[in-house]
Amino acid sequence: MRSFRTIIVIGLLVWTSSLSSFELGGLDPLKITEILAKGVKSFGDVPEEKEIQIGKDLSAGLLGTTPLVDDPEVQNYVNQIGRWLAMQTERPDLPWTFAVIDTDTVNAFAAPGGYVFVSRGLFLMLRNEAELAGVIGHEISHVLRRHHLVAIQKQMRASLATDVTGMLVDYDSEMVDVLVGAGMELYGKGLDREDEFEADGMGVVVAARSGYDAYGLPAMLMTLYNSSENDQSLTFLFSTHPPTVDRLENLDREMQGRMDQYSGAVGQTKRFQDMQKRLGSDA
Amino acid sequence: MPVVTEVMMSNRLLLVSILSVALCFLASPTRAQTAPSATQGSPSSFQHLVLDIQGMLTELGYRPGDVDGLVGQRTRQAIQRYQSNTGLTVDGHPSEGLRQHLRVTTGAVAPGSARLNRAGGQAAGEKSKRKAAWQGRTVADSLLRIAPSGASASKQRLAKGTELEVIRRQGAWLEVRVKNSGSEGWIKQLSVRAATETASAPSKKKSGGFFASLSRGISRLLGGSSDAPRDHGKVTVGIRGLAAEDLAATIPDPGEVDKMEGFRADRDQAFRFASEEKLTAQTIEYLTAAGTGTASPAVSGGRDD
Repeated sequence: MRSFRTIIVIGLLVWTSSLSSFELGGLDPLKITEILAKGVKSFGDVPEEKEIQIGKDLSAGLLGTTPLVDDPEVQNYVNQIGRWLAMQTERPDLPWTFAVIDTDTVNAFAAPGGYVFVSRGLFLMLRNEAELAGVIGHEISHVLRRHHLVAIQKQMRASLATDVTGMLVDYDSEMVDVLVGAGMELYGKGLDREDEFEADGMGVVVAARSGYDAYGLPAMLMTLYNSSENDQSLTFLFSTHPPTVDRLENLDREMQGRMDQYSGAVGQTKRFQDMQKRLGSDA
Repeated sequence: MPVVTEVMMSNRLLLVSILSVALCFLASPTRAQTAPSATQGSPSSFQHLVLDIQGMLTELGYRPGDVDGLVGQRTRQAIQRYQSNTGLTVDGHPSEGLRQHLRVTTGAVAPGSARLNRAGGQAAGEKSKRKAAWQGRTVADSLLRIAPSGASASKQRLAKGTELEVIRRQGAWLEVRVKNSGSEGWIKQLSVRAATETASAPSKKKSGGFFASLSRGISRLLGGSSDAPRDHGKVTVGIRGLAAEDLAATIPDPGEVDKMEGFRADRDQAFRFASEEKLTAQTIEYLTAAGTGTASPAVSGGRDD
């Protein structure tokens, strides 16, 4: 019974979303509300199992635009550093999965349930393993805090003028089109400023907990700060994140001097340089 | 070095830059025997050279042993590892060229900055004559300290907007000279921005982008894989880009996700990865309460071997 109603809801959502990228179509909002209220539970947290499935489906969307870099050594490397970082957090045993994706655009993404993507362009811009740890720590933090999950729910709620959190609680593969539509829109416009600031602050700590120089992420932001705003490979990142100067100032405020004792831990490694060489020659 | 000095005095930046590149190439060991001549004027200047090199190697994680200005086996080995990693010829010799190369690598030369660090070519032993790597200014009221540590005594309180010459970086700290007073000390890296940017509303526009591309070019020339920013921005035919429009038009590829999942690492692999570089897990609280309630790391392992 429930699945039947779910299908109606999904069908409706697919239809409305196809009308104008998740704006309401000509449909009577009251009617939508009515149907949703009947068919979907509108409370409760998304179970971890659903969260992972959601992340997996969003990842398929991301990878549909940009495939993996075809280099097992690089993929193994990024999974090992990623898992080591994730193990120092409150969700160490999610099915953490990391990838370097094949684009010159500088950016990184996270999807719920433990999926993290770093672009080849970003990897090549970094100067050492501590900077990479900071970047991955930032993305891991988005997962820890369920930023994307919450943002997608918020977006659906705004679009449909009703509370559809229940839709993700009951998420199943029949809803994939709606989810991917909303998710890709979110990746295209970015998370809230506060989410990015939080991920910056947590990313610094996750990297430091893992034995890396705490200043990797700030150093990487410094590189961005000193980059040209006309640099086309950075346009997407700049348009989906708060101004870099705000991020640096936020970190400055949060870190004060508290992380200085973790400066001077591991920074550069030969393996990182080897991976950069591989990625540079793949290009 | 008189020729270099003269050119530097004049404003022919292109020439200066080319000479700087040439300086960096002095790191090449075939010329290493001649390179140190610039610093052999007094024993102390050579010691300063070694101190600088050891400091930067330490910062980069090459573990040259104590930063003592003495060239021992560990220092030589660290230099060799660095030379090997960055495509220099491997001779383990602490040369002026090597110092310059390290300065670019450690970011003492500001990315995208015009002001290439020429300090090494001067009498490095004399503190007062050290040249600035780049110009900056404070973005907030800050303390100038006598050493690169928050625990060290403060020399002076600097108001927001104080103009500085940045001499070098060590970890999270910059050694700077205050332009007005000439007094030198250490300040937190995050308190300083490059002077071409204003503190609150930075214009990203550099003088024509000339210097940015120049320094990228230099880092390309150096061939170091750990150098200042790559030429990621250069738009060439065939650039593979990603933008919001591409995402909106995606055709999901579940097969690629399966492939990605095939590379997952388990705990043992992660531990091995950590112990390779002696990464030690630390217990550190998140910086703000907002960063989740549970801050203790789930794994306190970390192996000391």
